[in-house]
Amino acid sequence: MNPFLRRFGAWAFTILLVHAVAFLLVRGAPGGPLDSARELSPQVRAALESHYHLDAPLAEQYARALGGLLQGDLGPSMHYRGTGVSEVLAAGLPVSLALGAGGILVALLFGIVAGLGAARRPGGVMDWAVRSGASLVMGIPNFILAGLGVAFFSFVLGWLPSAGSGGPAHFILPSLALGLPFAGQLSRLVRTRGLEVLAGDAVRAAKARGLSEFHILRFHVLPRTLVPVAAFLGPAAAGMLTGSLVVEQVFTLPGIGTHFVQAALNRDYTLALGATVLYTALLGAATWASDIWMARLDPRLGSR
Amino acid sequence: MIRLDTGSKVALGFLVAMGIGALAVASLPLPDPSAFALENALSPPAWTLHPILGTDAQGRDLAARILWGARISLSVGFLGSLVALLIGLPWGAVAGYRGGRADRWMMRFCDALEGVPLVVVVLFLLAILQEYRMEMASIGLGRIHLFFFAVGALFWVPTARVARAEALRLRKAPFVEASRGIGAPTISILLRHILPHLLSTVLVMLTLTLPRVVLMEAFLSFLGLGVEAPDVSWGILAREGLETLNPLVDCWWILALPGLALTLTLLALQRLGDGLRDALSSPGR
Repeated sequence: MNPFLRRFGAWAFTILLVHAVAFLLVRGAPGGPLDSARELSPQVRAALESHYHLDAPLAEQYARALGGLLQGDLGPSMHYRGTGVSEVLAAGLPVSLALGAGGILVALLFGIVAGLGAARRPGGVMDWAVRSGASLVMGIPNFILAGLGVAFFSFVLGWLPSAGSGGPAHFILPSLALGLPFAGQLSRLVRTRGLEVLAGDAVRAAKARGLSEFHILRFHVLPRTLVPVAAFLGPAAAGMLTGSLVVEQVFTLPGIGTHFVQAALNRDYTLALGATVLYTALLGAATWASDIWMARLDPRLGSR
Repeated sequence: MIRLDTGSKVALGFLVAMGIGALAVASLPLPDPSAFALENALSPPAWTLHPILGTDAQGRDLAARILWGARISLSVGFLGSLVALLIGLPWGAVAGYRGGRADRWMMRFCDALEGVPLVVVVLFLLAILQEYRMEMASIGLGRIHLFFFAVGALFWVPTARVARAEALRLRKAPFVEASRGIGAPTISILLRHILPHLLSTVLVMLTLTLPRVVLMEAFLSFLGLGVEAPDVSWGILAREGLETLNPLVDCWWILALPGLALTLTLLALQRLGDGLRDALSSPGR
């Protein structure tokens, strides 16, 4: 079968499975969406139930939910009255995507530069600094890292905003808090691979031709360290997805992570369900993108 | 006898000290961790006198809170890792020993789980299961117990993979083939020959799962979905610290010290796990 189709099929199947399981759990929970603090009269309750099709058989309810999902309509939110889940998520998505892009940028930029810098002189000062720095950012939980970043850069120095999502400056600290732990892991991968490449014949030949060190690192070493980098991005995307839940919370960014956590606390299960499905889709897409990039870097990997 | 390198010994020493502190906290000369004393709110660490590590916004002693937090964080971490182990180990051992089609399907299931954002799904599950807290309370289960199942569901896959690799190797070992030859049933081979040989793997995987579970507990408590308020855990302390931090009052210790306790514990567990793995896999043991 066409690998593209197979991949797409697996992606769609995962999303549908997560949706179906989550749907059953939400419908099976004893607390219904109409159990608010206010007692409803039986007539009002029946009218609301028939409006939201809650009185229909489970199979019909699921069919409706599935049809909605295919059209991008995830139903009404239980907490934000009068607003659809899709609208809430659509409002949060750009913020979360910007944060995710910032985190990946930080991870790639710091990870590759630091890794190559460390590989230049193994055992040198730079190598030591990069390796200790990497252990440090990988060891500190990201909510502590984010909190300390706010304390220092926002409260002590006053350089960066501590919360909200006004403009690009509001994304600097969150992106660093999200991306640095992954930059630490990436720098290790790049360092290991860079050391192998630097010890190879190609680099010796390039040195013999009198090329500058920067030129060698940029054009001879960097391209060949990218396969592990691309392979790392898939798992890193999953990790960042988790990380973004806390980072959005710390910086009060109105992304899907904040909505999701709030929904879990507010018992807004339709919103939580929608966010779970959206996260599954995003994770699949990120893993896919990482595989496509890997296949472009090394065509031998593409046939799988 | 396991011979550890110096770094692992230091890590082990730190963990033992933290564990003893957590166990003995009730008999240490520290104030009650939930005793409000608003007149002492946000006193900085005095290092040698009381309050050694300062106080929080309600004047509660931070040293006492960190040690009481260690009790919950470490015990949750330990039990959660055990649950992950109890799922992952049999799964991997059976898949590796049976081989063939069973192995393919069981491992394909693990692969499929990696396509799902598990942390999000588990958060979702924890939220939904809140609806059943009346029913659960009647059989003596609380939120903390849910957490163990959640962690088990999250972290068993790496253990299963390692256990499978070991079991694949063992099933070709002469003593296993011999007992198969005399007609021993699969279940007794698994229990008497495969599992005992997985013991060192178990030790390593337990140590390596621990920091992930401790971090997960802190993460969930930080989000407000884990340990609940009168109880203290490091995640709760980090959350309170972050809420207290503000540009007007200098109170760095309120976030930095619980953060330090958590970070050092995670690093020590990771280091000990790596050290154990090296010590147990080196040929000269």
